[in-house]
Amino acid sequence: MSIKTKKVLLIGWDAADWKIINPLIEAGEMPALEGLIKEGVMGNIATLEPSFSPMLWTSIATGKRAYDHGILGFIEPNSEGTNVRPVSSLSRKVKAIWNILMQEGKKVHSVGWWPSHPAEPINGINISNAYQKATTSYGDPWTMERGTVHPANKSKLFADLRLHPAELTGAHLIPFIPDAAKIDQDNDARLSNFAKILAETATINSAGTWVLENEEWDFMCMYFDGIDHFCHGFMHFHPPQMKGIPDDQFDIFKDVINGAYRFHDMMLERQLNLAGADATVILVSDHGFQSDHLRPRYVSDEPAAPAEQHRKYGVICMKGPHIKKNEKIYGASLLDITPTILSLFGLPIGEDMEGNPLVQAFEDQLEIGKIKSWEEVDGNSGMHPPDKLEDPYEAGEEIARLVELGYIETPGKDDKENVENSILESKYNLARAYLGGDKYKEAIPILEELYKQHKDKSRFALPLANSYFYTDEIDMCNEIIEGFEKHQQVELEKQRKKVGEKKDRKGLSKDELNKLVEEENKDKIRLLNTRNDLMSFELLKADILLKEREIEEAIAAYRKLEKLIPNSKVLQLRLGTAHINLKDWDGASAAYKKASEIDPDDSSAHHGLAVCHLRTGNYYDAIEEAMNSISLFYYFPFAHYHLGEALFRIGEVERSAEAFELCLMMNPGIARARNWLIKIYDENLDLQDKAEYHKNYFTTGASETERSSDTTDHESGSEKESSHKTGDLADPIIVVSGLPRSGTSMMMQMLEEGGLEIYTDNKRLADESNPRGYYEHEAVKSLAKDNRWLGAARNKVVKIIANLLFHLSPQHNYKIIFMLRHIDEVVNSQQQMLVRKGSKSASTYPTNLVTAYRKTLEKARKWEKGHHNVRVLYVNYTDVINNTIKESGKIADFLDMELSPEKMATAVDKKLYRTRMDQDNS
Amino acid sequence: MEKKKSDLKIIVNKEMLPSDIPVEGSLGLLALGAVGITEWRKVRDAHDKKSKRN
Repeated sequence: MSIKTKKVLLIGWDAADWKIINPLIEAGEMPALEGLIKEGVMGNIATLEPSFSPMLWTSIATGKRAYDHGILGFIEPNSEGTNVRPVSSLSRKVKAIWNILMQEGKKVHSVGWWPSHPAEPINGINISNAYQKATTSYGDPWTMERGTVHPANKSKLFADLRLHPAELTGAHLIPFIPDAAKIDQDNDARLSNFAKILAETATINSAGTWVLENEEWDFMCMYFDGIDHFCHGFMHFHPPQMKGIPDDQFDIFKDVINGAYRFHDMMLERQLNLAGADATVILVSDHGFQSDHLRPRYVSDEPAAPAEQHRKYGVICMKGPHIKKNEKIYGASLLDITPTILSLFGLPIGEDMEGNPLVQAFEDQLEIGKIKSWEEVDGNSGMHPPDKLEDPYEAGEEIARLVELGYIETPGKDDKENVENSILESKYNLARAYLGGDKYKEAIPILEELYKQHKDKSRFALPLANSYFYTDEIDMCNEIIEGFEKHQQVELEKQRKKVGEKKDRKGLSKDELNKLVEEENKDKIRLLNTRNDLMSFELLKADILLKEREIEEAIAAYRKLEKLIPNSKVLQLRLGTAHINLKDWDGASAAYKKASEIDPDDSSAHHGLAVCHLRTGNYYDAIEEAMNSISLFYYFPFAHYHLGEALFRIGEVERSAEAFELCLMMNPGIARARNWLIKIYDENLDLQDKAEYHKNYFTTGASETERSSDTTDHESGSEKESSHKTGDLADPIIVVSGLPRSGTSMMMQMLEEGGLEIYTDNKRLADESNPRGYYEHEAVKSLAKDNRWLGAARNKVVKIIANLLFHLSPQHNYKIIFMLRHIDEVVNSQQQMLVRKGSKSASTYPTNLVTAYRKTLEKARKWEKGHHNVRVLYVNYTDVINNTIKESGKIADFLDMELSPEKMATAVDKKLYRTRMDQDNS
Repeated sequence: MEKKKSDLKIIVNKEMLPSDIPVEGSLGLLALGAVGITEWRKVRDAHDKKSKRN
C-alpha cells in the first residue's frame, strides 16, 4: 500500500550507541527513549566509510554517499580558494530531503544539521550549524554569522534563544560532574569545554522546540552533536576504569557520559510531546562510539584520528501511525533514511539513491515508487542559487572548535598550506568513500596520486595496497608493500632511538616539563603507530598468501602475527578463513570463537562459527550462530545462505527456502542459492512455478553483472567479501565429463601434466583400453546417493560421467570440461572395450544406447543452462588429437589457470585414437 | 547524584512549567527548550535585579 504520513520529525544524535543506552533504559533512566522503542521499532544502523560526521549526516539527509553528495570532510577551501572554511551547505551537490519535500509542497524546517551553513532558503525555518557556537565572552555582543538563520527576519528571535556557556550554573553541571569544585580551572579546561558542549546542546533544543511549538510543519529535522562531543572528551573516564586513567580523574568525570544520555532523553521527552501522537518520529545516530574494552588507549596523530573511537553501528528508532510496535528491525543503513522518509510521505525514491526504505518497520506492505532522480525534478527546492559565495573568514571559530575536538589538525600559519591540506584530505576522504562503496577501481587513481606525493604516509599506502589486493592486482600490491615496508623499517629505527633517548630534566620549569612529557608521549604513539603499520602490511602479505591458496604458509604468517597482536579480531577472522579453506573446522572454529570473544558484535565471527557447525553436522548450533550473525548485520547474504542450508538439513524446508530467497534478494548473483531453491521447489515443496522462475532467471531476467556475480568463497565470506563480487567462480571443482569413451581419461592426463591435482583413489588400474589409467574415484559412482565428498574435490580435477552431473550439489562451483566425440565412435570404442573384456553384449550394436546417449547430451546442455554455479567448456576429442596445443591453450584460458599447453600435449598419444569415423564429431 | 536526577525528573515531567522556577536553573528547564530557558531567565534576571537593588 501507499501510505501518506502527515508529519515526520527526524532527530539526530551524533554517536549515540545502544551499548550505553541499553543499561540506562534497563535502569529506568531513559524513559522517553524507552517509550519510543515500545511504541515503535528499534535497531542498529550501519555507518559508512569514512565515519566523519559531516559526510555521514549529509548521507542521511540525501540518501547518497559522499562521492555523490560532495561533502568530503570537516573543512574545505573557501569559494576564492584563499583559505579554508568549515565544510558548508554550499558544497552539497544534491538535494537534501527537505529540498525534495519542499518541492512536493511540504512545509519543512531544519535546525542545526551538519553541514547546513549558510542556511538554505527553504519555505520554513532553517537554522544552520553555526548557530549554537558561543564566539564571545558572556556580556559582550554575541553576534550571529550572516546566513545562520533563514528567514533573516527571525534572526533576533533565535539569537535570544541561544544559551551561553557562562550562563550555566552548578545546578546544570553537578548532575554530570558532582565534584566539579575539585577541578583546578586555571590549569584544566575540561569543565569549561564540558559547559560549552552542554550550552550548545541546550541551544539547539531551544530553537527546535520553539519551531515545534510555534510553526506549522510537515517535516522537521534537528541535529545534536552533544553525545559525540561528550564522548570524545570524556569517554576514557567512563566506567569501567581504563588502564592509565588516574583514580582521581576517573572519580571526577566518570558520570559525564551517562549524564549526557540522560539529558538527551529529557530533551527527547519534550520534543515527542511537542511533535504530537500523529507525527512519525525517527531518531538516528550516524555511528556508535566505543565504550567498553574496545576503547582505543591511544589515537594516532593523523588528521581526523578521533574517528578511530567510533563504532560501526549507530542507533535507529522509529514510531508513528504506520510503524510496527515494539519490534526490532535489522540491516538499516544511513543511506536508508531518506528513502524511508520519502516512502512515509508516499513519494517515490530516486534510482540514484543507494539505500532502500526500511520496509520491515511498516505495519503494511509498502508500495515503493521510483523515479530516475530527484535532481531532475524542476521547481523551487530551497537550495542555494549556484552562484552564492561565502565569506571564508567567518568560519574561524568553528575551525577552532574542530581543532579543539581533535577532528582537524591545527591549521598551518600559511593559508596556502591550509588550502593544500584541505584539498589533500578531501581527496583522501573521497577515496575512502569509494572504498566504502566497494568502488576500488575509482579509489585507486586517487590513492595513487596521494601515495606518489606522500610515500611516507601509511594512510595512503595501506588502502592503496588493499585496493590492489581486492582488484587482484597482486603485483602492484606487493610493490607498494615492499616500498613502504623499507621506509617504515628505517622510520622504526629512528623512532626507537628517539624514544630510548634520556632527556635532561634538570632545571626545567613545570610548563617545560609538561611539554617534554607531552612530546615524549607523542613519540611513543608514533612508534606504536609505525609498528602497527608494519603489522598491517604483514597481515596483508598473509592475506595475499591466502588469496593465492598458499594456505599453510598463510596460516604460519598469521600465527606469527598472533604472537604480536593476540587480541586482533581481524587476524582471528583471517585465521578462521584460512582454516576453513583447509576444511579444518576445529581450527576455524577456535579462531572465530576468539574473534567473537574479542568483539561479540562481529557478525563475520558468528557467521564463521555457523559455517563450522554446519560442516560438522551441528545444524542447530549452525542455525543459532547464523541468526546471531544476521541479527548484527542483516544485509549479509551468505549468513542467510548458510542459515538456509542448516534449516534444510533439519527438515525446515519452507524456512530454508525463505532464507535462500532473502539471500538472493540481497545478492541475486549467488547462483548456488538459486540452485538450492530450484531443488527445494522442485523436489520438496512441489512449487513448479517458483522452480521454473529460478531456472529461467538467468536466461530471461538477469543482467550480465548478475550472471557473472557468483561470489568469492561462500564458506568464509566476510561482510566485506559478501558484497565484493567477482566475475569468475571461486574454488571450483574441475570436472571432466562426457560419455564413457569420449576422451575423458585423456583429458584427465592432460590436466595432470598441466599441473593440476587429480581427485582419484587410483583403485581402477590401467588396462589395455586405458593404458595410461582411468583417473577415477570410487566415491563418484555413488554421487547420486552421497555427495558429501565433493568438498574435498575443490580446486582439484575429478572425472564424472555425463549421467551423474545432475546429482552435483548446488553447494559448490563447477568448471566442467565436457568431452564431445562422435557418438558412433563412442559406442564403437565401448564395444571394443567390451570385446577386450570378453563381454557377450559386445556382439550386438546397441541402437537404443545411441538414442539414450543423445538424450543425455541434450539433458546435460539444458542442465548447464539452469545452473549458474556451473561453467562448461565443450571440447572436441578430434580437435584435441589434431590441434593439441591450441586446444590446451583454450582449456587453460577457461580454467583461468597457468597451465602449460606444451606439458598438457605430452599426455596425448595419437596412437590411442583407434576408433575413428570419417566425419565430424556430433 | 540520584537525588538530583530525581528532582530533575519532577520538573521535566510536568507538562507546564514548574511554579517555583529555581534561580540557579535546572537541567529540566533546559530540556523544556525555548520556554524553559526564557522563563528561567526571567526569574534569574529579576533575582539579579533585586540583589543589585539590595
